[in-house]
Amino acid sequence: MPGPIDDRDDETRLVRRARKGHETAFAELYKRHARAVHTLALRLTGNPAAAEDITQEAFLKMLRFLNGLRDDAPLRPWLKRVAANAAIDRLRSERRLSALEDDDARAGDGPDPQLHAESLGLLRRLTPLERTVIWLHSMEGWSHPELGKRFGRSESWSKSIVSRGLSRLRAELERQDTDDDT
Amino acid sequence: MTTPEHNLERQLRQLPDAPLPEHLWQRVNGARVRMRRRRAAGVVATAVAVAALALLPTFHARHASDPSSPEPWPVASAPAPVVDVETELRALDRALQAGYARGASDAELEALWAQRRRLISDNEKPQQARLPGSLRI
Repeated sequence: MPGPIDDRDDETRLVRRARKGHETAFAELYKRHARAVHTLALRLTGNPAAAEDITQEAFLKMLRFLNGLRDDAPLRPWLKRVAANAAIDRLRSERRLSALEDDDARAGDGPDPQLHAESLGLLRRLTPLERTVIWLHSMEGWSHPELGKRFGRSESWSKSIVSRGLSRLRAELERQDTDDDT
Repeated sequence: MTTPEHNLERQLRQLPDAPLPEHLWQRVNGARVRMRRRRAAGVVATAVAVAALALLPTFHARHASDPSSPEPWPVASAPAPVVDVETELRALDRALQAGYARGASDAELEALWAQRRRLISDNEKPQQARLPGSLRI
């Protein structure tokens, strides 16, 4: 990867230069934000290959997509929003929503836990849908109306998913604490 | 006081970031380079479309004033410009689409949009004048 750029370069200039084809500017933006974007994508999808696809797409969108990326807006929230939307689209297209309604989707669904157990940890105890909704609501600050709308559902649907998932997580943690004590 | 909710939220916040795969930079940068190549090809396509658009009125003017050219088709005088406007609009739309696809500059896109607005505006006046009163907006 190319070397670092002068710290005085602000992100607006970096984005402009990256959009003009400067590899060093693009590399600097990648260095600053790729890990956060990739981590979010991995947490939401639980799938390393999907997380890489989503990270790549977010950075390419940054180069070609003007709408919604204002000059004065910080870049990382925008990149994370793009990644979250892509993860939701994947989740919906994989029909995991309907699988959940049929009670088919189980906590821990996904690739080999050994691959990313450390990074996902606690989240693997949730179903893919619960993991996505809970993380976006509790950690990324998405509101229930926003989540309901993005999933094509209602605000109360989002509240119910979060409440149900968190209850199960709490119960599991308490059980784990009890087991540790004994 | 630490509630179960706080405890859970704290645990979620403390989850470590996933390590960034080392090969991912090569992959993302490779995709960036390929995208730039496609955009460069789009520049040529846009240039051709814009040049064709610019030459269209000249072509029509020459064609109309050339005495050796065959008699014009016997069409009503009003609808003919509409066909030309639609052709120009389609060419402009193609140029805009190609512009967005290759990430053209704001100034370039704005010029195309301005040209499009002008074309529609110029065309609307006589169109509206021809409409019956009950249909005018």
